[in-house]
Amino acid sequence: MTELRRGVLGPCVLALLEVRPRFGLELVRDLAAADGLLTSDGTVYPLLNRLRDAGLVTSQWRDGDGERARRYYSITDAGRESLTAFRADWARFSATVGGVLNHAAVDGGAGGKGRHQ
Amino acid sequence: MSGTALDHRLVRDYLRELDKAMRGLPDTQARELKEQITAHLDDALQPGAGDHEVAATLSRLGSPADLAAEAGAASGSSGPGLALSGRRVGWRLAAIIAVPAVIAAVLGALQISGDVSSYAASGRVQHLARLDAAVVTLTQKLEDERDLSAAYAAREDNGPLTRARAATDAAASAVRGDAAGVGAGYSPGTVQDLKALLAGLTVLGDIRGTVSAPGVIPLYSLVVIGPAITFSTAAGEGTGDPRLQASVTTLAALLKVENEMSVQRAILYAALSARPPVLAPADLTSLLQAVQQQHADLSDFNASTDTTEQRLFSNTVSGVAVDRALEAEARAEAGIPVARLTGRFGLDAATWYSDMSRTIDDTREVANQLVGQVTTRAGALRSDATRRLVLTSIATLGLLLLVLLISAAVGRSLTRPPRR
Repeated sequence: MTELRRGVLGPCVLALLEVRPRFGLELVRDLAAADGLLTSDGTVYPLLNRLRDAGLVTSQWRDGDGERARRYYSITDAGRESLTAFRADWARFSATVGGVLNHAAVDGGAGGKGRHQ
Repeated sequence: MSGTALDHRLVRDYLRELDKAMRGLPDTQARELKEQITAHLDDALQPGAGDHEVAATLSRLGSPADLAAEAGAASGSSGPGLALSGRRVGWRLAAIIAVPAVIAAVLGALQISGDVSSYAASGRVQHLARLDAAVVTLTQKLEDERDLSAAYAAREDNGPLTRARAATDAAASAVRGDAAGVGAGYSPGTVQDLKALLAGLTVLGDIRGTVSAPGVIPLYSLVVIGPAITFSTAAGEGTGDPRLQASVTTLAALLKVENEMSVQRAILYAALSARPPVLAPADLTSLLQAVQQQHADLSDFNASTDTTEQRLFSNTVSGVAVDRALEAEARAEAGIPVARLTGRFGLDAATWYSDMSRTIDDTREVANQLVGQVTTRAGALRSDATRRLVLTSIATLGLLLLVLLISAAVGRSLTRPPRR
């Protein structure tokens, strides 16, 4: 489960940033709102840095209204492309996995017995 | 920034723990994560937040160790194999760079130290070649001095002897100068031979004081010329180069031939210079011995070298003076009294001395060529060793640099995700 979560967290971050740029805590709260996606809040930051190193995300400092400056993260063109590709992959992948899981639930027991004879 | 949530004790502890956990990470990465986490806490916590709230926020954030491990992992989608703590990655990276570099350095150092020692050995060989050349010159000067000393008692004009002694002194001080530094690292036999020669030179003054005594010829031979030839004979030992050693051996054999010629010159010169000229029976015996020894030494010389040098010797040591000297000597050997030699054959001390000196000088010319060969060969060995040492050093440094670059590149590719 942890690995699966790790795998999809990046695309989820990209999806949130596709809507609008966000700063760290904002992003963490939006992700945390989706149940079961985050194991710990801090994980988001190393992930953001990796996405930035991969050129999918950029960050810049922005002044808030009367508040201190914050680092805002936004998606790049490469990030958008990557997200589009992931959406297509994910649709196929989840359909396949769903098909296999449902099928296995029906006759998985019988198949196992057959092999043991 | 007083009064913010960042001053909370738990927050400060957490950030300190984070710093500790991120020690294995690259500086920029650690600084960036610290800044992000600090901003997160600053945004998430109101100033004056209570312990419970702070603890809950920190707990949601995850442990500093987990955060650092996450930051150190190669990429978000990679398997658990690379999810190492930053410190372990740092350690492995150091091993990847250090192990090949240390191996390359050790192998290089072994190779270099081998080349350094052969460089030092070639320096010793060159030193010995120079010293041997000086000893050969000294031997020749000593021979001249001895031969003139033999007739000292019978002659009034001592100018030539004085000049010969000055020449000997100059050659001796050249040998003493070159002898400095011959010690550790040199063949023990060579060191011993050199010591004997230097000891002989210290009593040269005493020998000169007894110049009128009979037996001055063997005294010179025994105390100084003998040790000089002995040194020269063994000087090639331990050079490890067959060609150089052969040249040194040939040179020493020729030096012996020359010395026996010189002894003959001394005996007959003394006999002819006496008034009246007379060759004592004991001196005739010595003369015959010297002639015999010369033949023996000449066959040693011929055995030690190829036809080129043999031909060089027979071509160089020839001419009217050489023939006349041989003729005169044959008569003396045949027992014709010296008085009759002077009367009937018109032989006198000066003619004999100059004829025999021509023969000896011709021999010395061949010897000088051999000295040249020895010096050239030693120089070639030296420059070979120098070139080898320089090349090995450059190659080793280059290899070390290459190993460092490659392992650093490999290490970097392990800690950073490949750009997609």
